[in-house]
Amino acid sequence: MKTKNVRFILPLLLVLGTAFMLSACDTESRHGRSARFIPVQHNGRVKSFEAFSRQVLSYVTERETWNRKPAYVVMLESMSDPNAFRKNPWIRIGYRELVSYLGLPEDRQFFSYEELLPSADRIESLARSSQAKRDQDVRPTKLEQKGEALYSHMLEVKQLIAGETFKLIPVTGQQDWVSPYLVSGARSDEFKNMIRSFHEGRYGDFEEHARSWTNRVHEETALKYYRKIRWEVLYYDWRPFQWAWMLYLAAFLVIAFRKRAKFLGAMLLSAAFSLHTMGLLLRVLILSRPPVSNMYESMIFMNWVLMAAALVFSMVRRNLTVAGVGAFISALVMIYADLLPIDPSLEVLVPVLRSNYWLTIHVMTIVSSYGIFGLAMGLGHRHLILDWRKKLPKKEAEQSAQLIHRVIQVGVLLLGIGTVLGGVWANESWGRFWGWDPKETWALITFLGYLIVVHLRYAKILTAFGIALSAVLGFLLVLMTWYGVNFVLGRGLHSYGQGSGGMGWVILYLALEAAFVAAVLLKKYSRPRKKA
Amino acid sequence: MTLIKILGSLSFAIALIAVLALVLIASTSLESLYGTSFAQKFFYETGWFDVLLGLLVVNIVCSTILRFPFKKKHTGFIITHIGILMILAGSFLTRFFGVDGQIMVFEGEQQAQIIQNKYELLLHSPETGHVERFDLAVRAGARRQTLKNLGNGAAITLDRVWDNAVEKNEIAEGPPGTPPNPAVELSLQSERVGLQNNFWLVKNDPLDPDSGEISMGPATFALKDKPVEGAATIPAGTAQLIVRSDKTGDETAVDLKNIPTGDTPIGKSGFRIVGIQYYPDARVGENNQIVNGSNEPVNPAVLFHIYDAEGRHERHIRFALYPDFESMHEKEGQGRFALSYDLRVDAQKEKPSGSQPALWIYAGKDSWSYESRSSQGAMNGKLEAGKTYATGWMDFKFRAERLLDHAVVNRMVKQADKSEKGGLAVQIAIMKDGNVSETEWLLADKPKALSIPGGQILAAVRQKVTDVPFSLKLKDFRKVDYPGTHQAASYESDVSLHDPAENLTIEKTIRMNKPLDYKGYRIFQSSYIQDPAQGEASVFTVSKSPGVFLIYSGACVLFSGVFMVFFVKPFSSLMTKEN
Repeated sequence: MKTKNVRFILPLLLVLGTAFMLSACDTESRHGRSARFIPVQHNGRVKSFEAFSRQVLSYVTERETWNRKPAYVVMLESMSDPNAFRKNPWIRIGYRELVSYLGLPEDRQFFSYEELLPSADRIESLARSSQAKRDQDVRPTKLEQKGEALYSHMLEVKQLIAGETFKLIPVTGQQDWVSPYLVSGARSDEFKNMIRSFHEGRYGDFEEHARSWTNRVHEETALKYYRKIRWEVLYYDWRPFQWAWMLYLAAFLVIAFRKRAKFLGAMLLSAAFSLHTMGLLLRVLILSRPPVSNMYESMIFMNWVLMAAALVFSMVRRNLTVAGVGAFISALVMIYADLLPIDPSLEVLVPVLRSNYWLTIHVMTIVSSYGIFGLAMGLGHRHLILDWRKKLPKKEAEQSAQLIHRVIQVGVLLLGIGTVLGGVWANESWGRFWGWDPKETWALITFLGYLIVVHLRYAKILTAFGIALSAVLGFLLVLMTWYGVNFVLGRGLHSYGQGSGGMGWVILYLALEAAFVAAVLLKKYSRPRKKA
Repeated sequence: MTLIKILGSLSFAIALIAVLALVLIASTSLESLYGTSFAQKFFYETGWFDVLLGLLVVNIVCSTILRFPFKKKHTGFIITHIGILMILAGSFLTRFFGVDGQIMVFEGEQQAQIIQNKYELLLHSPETGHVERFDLAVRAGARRQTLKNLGNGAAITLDRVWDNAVEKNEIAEGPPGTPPNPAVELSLQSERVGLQNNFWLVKNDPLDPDSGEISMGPATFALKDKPVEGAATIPAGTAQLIVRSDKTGDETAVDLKNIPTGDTPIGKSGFRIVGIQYYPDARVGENNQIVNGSNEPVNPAVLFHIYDAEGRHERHIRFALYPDFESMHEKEGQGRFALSYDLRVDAQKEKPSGSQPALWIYAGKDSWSYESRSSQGAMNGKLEAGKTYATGWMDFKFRAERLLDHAVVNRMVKQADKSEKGGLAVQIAIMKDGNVSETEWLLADKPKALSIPGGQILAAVRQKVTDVPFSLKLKDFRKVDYPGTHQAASYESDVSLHDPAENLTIEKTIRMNKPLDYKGYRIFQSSYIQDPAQGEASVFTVSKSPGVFLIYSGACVLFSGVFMVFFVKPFSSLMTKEN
């Protein structure tokens, strides 16, 4: 039995590890690595050239890499060829209808700026009518939405062509940096020479140039961005969250299937959790703001709370089971976070979200409650699966139900407090405590849902099976509040969680969950059980 | 007692919570489809929603009574429920005694009134100067409410108040004698884009200067006069206003590209032209003012005044492309000077151009034709009612449903479809001896004069304006961007608040999330206007919510109660009978 499990776990780790190393090696072998540290002022923040390139590339192409080249290489190569930005077939139109509406070849997804230029008028008017509808609180058609997105992608490329995007030279006494392509002078020539050396394949020269350029910018800005840029490149190289989910998955497998390897399980868990924590801290340090400002960050943070709570419960009960369940859910959430197109890039905030004490507390409390409910959901699944396999004697079932109930109670308290704090923030920012905004309303619906569970449990109506099932179903409400309001309903004040897509994955989850619940219910109630 | 037992029972509580949750799910789903105002109107602001929340209060009160006399174990339960009641009480206080409005102030100006999100109806008698105000409560059905008795059995009544109404046009061929006014109803279809759309183009709609042209996505549709062939051509670059006295035959031509300063006499007739303003590209701006769009002679117009020897005066506006415009919009008393005007400008000959798709319809004397342009080329031909034509852009086709030569436009007020965005509309009636003699629709901010027995009365619907005990002056507005972008990092306003009663002035900077508190009012930066023509302005939300303290303290009480119930065993019982 034991050996069988080892055989199962080790290859998995091996495969994951190799895949990861391979993708890492890909970056190692490229030229121009020093360029990644060059500071760039972009979207309101000074960031590394690495982050800048990734962001621009993923914005335009909706892909992480292009032609199998990492973002900074794509950017450097394009910068050294005057026509590249114009001619690269890299602007993605992921919507067939739009392609045919613009009269472009329908078998392609990627187009160059030049190819799109004749249709620019049409794209612009789509963007306009979309904007006009939005202003009137009417939802634009999908064609208009996609046209609007394409329009802003074209603008981005237009700015690349003009060289406006490359704000590389700091100006003393001024907030705005300037682009070497828009000013003339020694610095501008120096930069262009540097790019030329890359173009001509003098990579040694290029590395040296890039390093001295970077050092000079840091000197001029009094090392203000030095550490942040180092951290940022480190963050991208290191990919702490990718490692974390692999370790979480491994920890889960060890805890679930090798019950005696407690030490190994605990080690894997703490390694994963430390990486997770460090990744979060890095983001906080780079951006100087709490890590809950967009969907990606809130997923990672929710996950962190989930895991922290799981570890606390495990420690109190001196039992790794809760932590194991937590690790499994954490791994899944992190994989989801990577799969969903929810912009993991490091961005600045809209004014209403900035520097607000209440907002920070509000969002962190709410997201924490999601984490706690996530843990309850995981424990609910465990309970139902064990119950299904008849591996849960009555006493243990009652204990497990009690644990789930406890976890839900913590969640209810956090969600309630978080929602009220949201009201406090709204009152501080907009002058109203409650306005039936969809996100507010759904937080209330979720709260009411779990409240019913808690009341039923107090009334002793809900059995152990019932509470496990409620924990699973209740999480669907959380999902609706958290993801659905922004992505499905797509209305309301909280729409800065913006974005669309990833729907397929969420539907997959819902389908699997529905199948699971249906199967469990069928099994439970198909034959009347004998009463003990 | 039995009733209290039922109302205070746990099953009733659970049922209520479940119903509330389901109602909220329904409301948010419908909101997603039909917009925020729909959900507000049909759920959150309805009486039954209040009843639902009220029942929750009843349930909590009853369940608390049932546990009397209280024991130690009930502490958590009681505290929790007191907390909920405090929160609900606080929100009712705010709802009924709170103030919520907006102030818009331009830089350097001050305001002492807030505009509330409520409407009122004003009746103004020009003779007495007396103004009566009526609060308007939106209601779906018709209900007659007398607003003002006019004596002799006459009265003004309020019949309907709709909050989501739109004005729609009904277009038909006018009775014999109607002046020529071409109009066409087009239906546009595309299977590929899934479009099927009917719309009217009307040459002349007295209330809508753009009725002859519609933009739809990238395409424009326009109804044009057939270019007159062989018409006298005006020499290139000409821009002249010619005024002739019909009596004396005196004539004066003014060069509009070089308007003389001072008055221009019209020969020896005694008339003078004063204050000439030339608009090469006249457009109708806000408040129906004429503004200039560009310096190209696209739609030349000239605005001027004529004075006679005795100092009487007339104001005129002439359009080069629409010489009949003024005669159709003639005001009372205009034209008594017996002068003729001729605006001669070499206006750009219009043709659909560029790569944007455009469909132009030409109404001739006896036949209609069309011209369709796109980046793929042009198509044209004769236009007949009921026939379908290709436009040449993608698979778009159009059909002329109806062609009218003497169209008359009637405005109707209708309830908006769920997908449309409408505004407030109020129907009032003038009654005589119990019978309706006249009804009139009033739209927000569009006053109308009504004739009543023995005179006139002005009726207007507008947002309610309330005085606040202070005035707010905007000294400076700033939009602070993130470095190197146009993305706003913060909006802030330097204001000075003056309270005349206390003779107190406060200087402060209001920014996002940093409101100004004064006498229970909170003033927030909610929006801004940056307009090159008008200057900068801040929009502040002003609110007074007397219940907020109760809500905050209620929340604290509530959660300490919940904490006890959940985690402090001796205080945690919910049940009436339990050991």
